[in-house]
Amino acid sequence: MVLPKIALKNLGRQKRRTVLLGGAIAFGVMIMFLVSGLSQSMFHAAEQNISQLFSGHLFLIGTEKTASGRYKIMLKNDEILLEAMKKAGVEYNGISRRTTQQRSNIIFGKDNIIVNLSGIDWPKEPELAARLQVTAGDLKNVTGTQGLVIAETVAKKLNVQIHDQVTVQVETSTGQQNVGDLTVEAIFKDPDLFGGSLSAYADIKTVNTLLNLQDGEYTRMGVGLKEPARADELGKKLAAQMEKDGIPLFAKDNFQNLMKAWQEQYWEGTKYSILTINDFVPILVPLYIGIQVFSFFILFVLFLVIMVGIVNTYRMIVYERTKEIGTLRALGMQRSQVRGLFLLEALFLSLGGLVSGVIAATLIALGLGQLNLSNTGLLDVFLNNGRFGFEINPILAVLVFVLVAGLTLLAALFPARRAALMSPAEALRTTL
Amino acid sequence: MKKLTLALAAALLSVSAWAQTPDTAAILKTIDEQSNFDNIDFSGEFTIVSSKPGEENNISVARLFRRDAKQQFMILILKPEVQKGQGYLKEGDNLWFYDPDSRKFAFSSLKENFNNSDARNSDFNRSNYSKDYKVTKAEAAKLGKFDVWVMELEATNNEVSYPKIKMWVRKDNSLILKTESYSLSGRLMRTAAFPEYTNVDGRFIASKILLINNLKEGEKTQLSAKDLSTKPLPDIFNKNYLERVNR
Repeated sequence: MVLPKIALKNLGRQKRRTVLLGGAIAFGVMIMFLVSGLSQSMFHAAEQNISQLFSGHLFLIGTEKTASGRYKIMLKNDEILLEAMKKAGVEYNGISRRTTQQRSNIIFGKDNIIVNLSGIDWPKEPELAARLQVTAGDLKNVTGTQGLVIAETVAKKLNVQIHDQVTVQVETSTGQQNVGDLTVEAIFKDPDLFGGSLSAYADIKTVNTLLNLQDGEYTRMGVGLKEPARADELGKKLAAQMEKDGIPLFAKDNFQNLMKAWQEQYWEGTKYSILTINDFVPILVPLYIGIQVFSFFILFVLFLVIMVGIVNTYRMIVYERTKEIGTLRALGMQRSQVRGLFLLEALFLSLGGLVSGVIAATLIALGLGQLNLSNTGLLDVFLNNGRFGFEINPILAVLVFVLVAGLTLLAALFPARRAALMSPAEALRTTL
Repeated sequence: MKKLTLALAAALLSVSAWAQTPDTAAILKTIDEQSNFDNIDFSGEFTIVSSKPGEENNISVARLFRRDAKQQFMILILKPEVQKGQGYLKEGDNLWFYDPDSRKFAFSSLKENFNNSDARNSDFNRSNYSKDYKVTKAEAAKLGKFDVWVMELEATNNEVSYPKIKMWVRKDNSLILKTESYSLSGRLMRTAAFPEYTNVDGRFIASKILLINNLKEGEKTQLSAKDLSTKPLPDIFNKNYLERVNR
């Protein structure tokens, strides 16, 4: 207990030096935690926002093969799927049943735009209605009508206003061209998903009519998982259960390869495909991992620089305290205790820097969180209701602590060894 | 006497009605036969000029190769320069799009529009009216100086792009002069005019086509064909060829 007390006292003796060294450590830690914490929050916000737009974290698509060899996307009689989910232990908050078509053409006069059109059973998806930031019109006018809800970017491109009638051109489930007139009843702010997602919504019966589907049929089941982070794992569990139950299932793959499989394979009845949110936005996970690795790399490089400073500073400290070391050795302190004293000082320094760095990162993140960025468009998908969040990954925190403390101890080790190896008599003879 | 006159009139009317009722199935079969190349290869260069209001005309030039016997075709884009080397390859039911920049093949569809124009990829494919449609109504009319049959066609399956087509066909040689294509809901989507044909080894290929987008004001596409040939083609209907051409 004596050594730690002495170490702490020694740190207090040269306050400026301690603050500067500790500050350098704190700076590196702050950068690391800020980048990591913001990116983690942005990743989870993106997952949440995208899953709300897509209505789930896990998706089931049914395909049938026509006599001519063309595939048709369609789901109905989904009790076997719900049963399989129950057996596989896939727990969810809600199920959405939507009819979607990715390349629907909305035409108004001389303008047109390709959108992702979704048919919604509005009474059963109140979360979507709550999530959409309606800037004009009223969502109440859409249920059971020919009403259309479009994103602001769509409205701007077409130069349409509420109650304008637009022409919607689609390809039916079997590839026929169909056209219908819908009325713009609401316009909402659309978070720009990497510049690629333009959305429009209508009542599911309206979209089913356009796509020549019957009542009760739809194209995609979305499952809102209780544990979204386990989407991939639960997807695999569900796939295993479905195979066990003898439900025809395509091998898990990305959407492009699945389309190829739908085209090339032959089967009877309905065959299913399972996708997760990461399959729809595949860039998210690699981007997140990339940012985390990058922030670790930055921390490592920063600390290599800081280590040089710590090594030099401790060499100077050992030199300045040569007589003190000699006195301590003369009083009976062992070499290991001398080494331990300097290492403890370094450890306390690193801990102080770590804690300060985390506090600084948290304060900056809280400050950034006060900014309302909901009108930028570009960042919307990464924000929680227009604001930055901050999440510290506990495992990452422990790794950073271990890394910083380890590197600091390593930097102080050689000077500490040198101090321990000093001869007491020579140390006392030093004129300093 | 009165009875005889009535009988004669009825007979004349029947004959006249019979003369006015074409063998529509045979007409559709003739249309297909005289535009398909079942036993020989076909190739030609097509210029596609796409006009959209408020935009400059988009001009593409593409070389089309067809082997109808094996349901194969390939389109190689020659112009504009930024798209040179891009191509479409049909193998059986699959249509692939090749991008030389990424050197990757992606799934496409016959029903998609060709190069952002009003032409569809299926417009370059063999004609299949006799298999995919039945005539529900036909009547005689005149289109310009030509005597035509105006036929209303309904799809016999739910997989063709246009469930309903109205067609103006020359009575003398069964060449299509005009078509109106309708959506499943009965809305006019596209009007096509075929003012010029070229005889290629006994078959007739429309060497000038005008496509009007009836859903979008002012949008149209003009196709013109040249260098039409039935010379045998080498083994080019494969992905390797598209990749090789771009090396």
